[in-house]
Amino acid sequence: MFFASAALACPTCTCANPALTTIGADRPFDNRIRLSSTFRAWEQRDGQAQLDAATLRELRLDLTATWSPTARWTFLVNLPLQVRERTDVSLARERGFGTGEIDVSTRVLLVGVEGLRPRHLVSLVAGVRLPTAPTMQTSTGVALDVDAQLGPGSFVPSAGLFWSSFIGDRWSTFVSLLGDVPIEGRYGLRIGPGVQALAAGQFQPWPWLGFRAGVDTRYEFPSYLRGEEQRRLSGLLLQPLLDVIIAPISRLLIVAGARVPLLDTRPGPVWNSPTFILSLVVDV
Amino acid sequence: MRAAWVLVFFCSCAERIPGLQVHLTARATQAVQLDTATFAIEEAELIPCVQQAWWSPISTAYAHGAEVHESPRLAHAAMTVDLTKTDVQPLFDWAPPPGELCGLRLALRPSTAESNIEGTTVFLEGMIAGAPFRQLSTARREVTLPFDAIGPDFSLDVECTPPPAGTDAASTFEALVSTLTVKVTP
Repeated sequence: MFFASAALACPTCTCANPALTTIGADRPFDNRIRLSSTFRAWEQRDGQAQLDAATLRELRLDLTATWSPTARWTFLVNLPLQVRERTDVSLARERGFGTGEIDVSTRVLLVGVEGLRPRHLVSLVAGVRLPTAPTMQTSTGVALDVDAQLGPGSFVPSAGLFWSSFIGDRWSTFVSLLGDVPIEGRYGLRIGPGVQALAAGQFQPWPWLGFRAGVDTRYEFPSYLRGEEQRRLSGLLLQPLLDVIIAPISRLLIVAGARVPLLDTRPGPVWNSPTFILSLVVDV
Repeated sequence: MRAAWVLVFFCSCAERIPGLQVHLTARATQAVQLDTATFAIEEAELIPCVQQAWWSPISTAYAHGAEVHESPRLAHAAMTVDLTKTDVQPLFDWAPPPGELCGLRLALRPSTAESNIEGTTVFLEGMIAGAPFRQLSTARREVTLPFDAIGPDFSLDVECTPPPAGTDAASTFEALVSTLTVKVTP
């Protein structure tokens, strides 16, 4: 009664819940602000050797900020910095560096607003990717290939659902389902509508360390380039994911992981490298 | 420091590093003394050297992609060689894949160029000994000009020696085709 023990708030985990949560899986509270920087590296090879083979490589740094004015609403803005390189069949290389396409989205928490420690958080998400990436041109004014550009230069509205579930102190799950319908962008390219699903389970042997495993999948319908259907990259890509989440201090999360392509139904020929991710998330 | 951050966030830059290239040019070794003298090339293709391991009975197979793209060694365009001058005339630039090349295939077909030579393979028009002269050929012929194996990044110079005009367009065309040669300039 007279000597109350210290109470430790834990903003990187969902408040009153020891689960370490990244942006999207977290529980908003009044005036919660989170900043994150996520570094990603990937490579994609497509086309036929000796004919139209091309290799794309990208290093990308996503700078993300979220703000929750209330426990129900969260607003997100994401600015990517990208370096992209395309090598074509003749070994010609095109490189572009710059800011990519800004995402803005809003998330409304439907389930889990009330209570100290809700077992489930269910949110609706709606957003749009803006065509903010400039059309990359060489110093001689020649525009880079559409694949070497830092984005399709189109509005991409998206909507979906997030569901976080917490089972005791050590286990949690996260499921997201997002659909997007890109509008025609530069060069007459309209990327096919896509559905992205992520399902992951997280185990925390200690409050400061978590392991997350799951699958990240995307199904993409055919794209159209100047009205011509491009089926080569349409289909399902399923990637198991494995992340390590560390909270060295209470307001900081470090996430490192990889997504490894396992099932690919795209006619291609196309090959994707594993995607490596390193992310820092800070509660302000 | 702040300026550096602004630079990082708002600058964008791009570059293109050329890859392998093969330039095709054509030249008449002597100028034809006519008002117009042309021959048309509608297709040119670089021929890779055959590289099949002696122990392998299986030939090279290509995947059947949903989309059909032209070979990067194929030039499908209306190319016209002016025989009234001996200048080097650029015809086409390829960006081929790596691998040795051993020949050049030329398809001589009626021109699709939008000009007075349209529809002709050889077009000769002018005055000879004070008399009007005109010969038009619409013949088609594929010619393969071999050269020593070489990797991409060179120029191919097609040369022809315009012969005296034959008695008819067909014989002029045949005589012209027989003089075609190719020279490789690394």
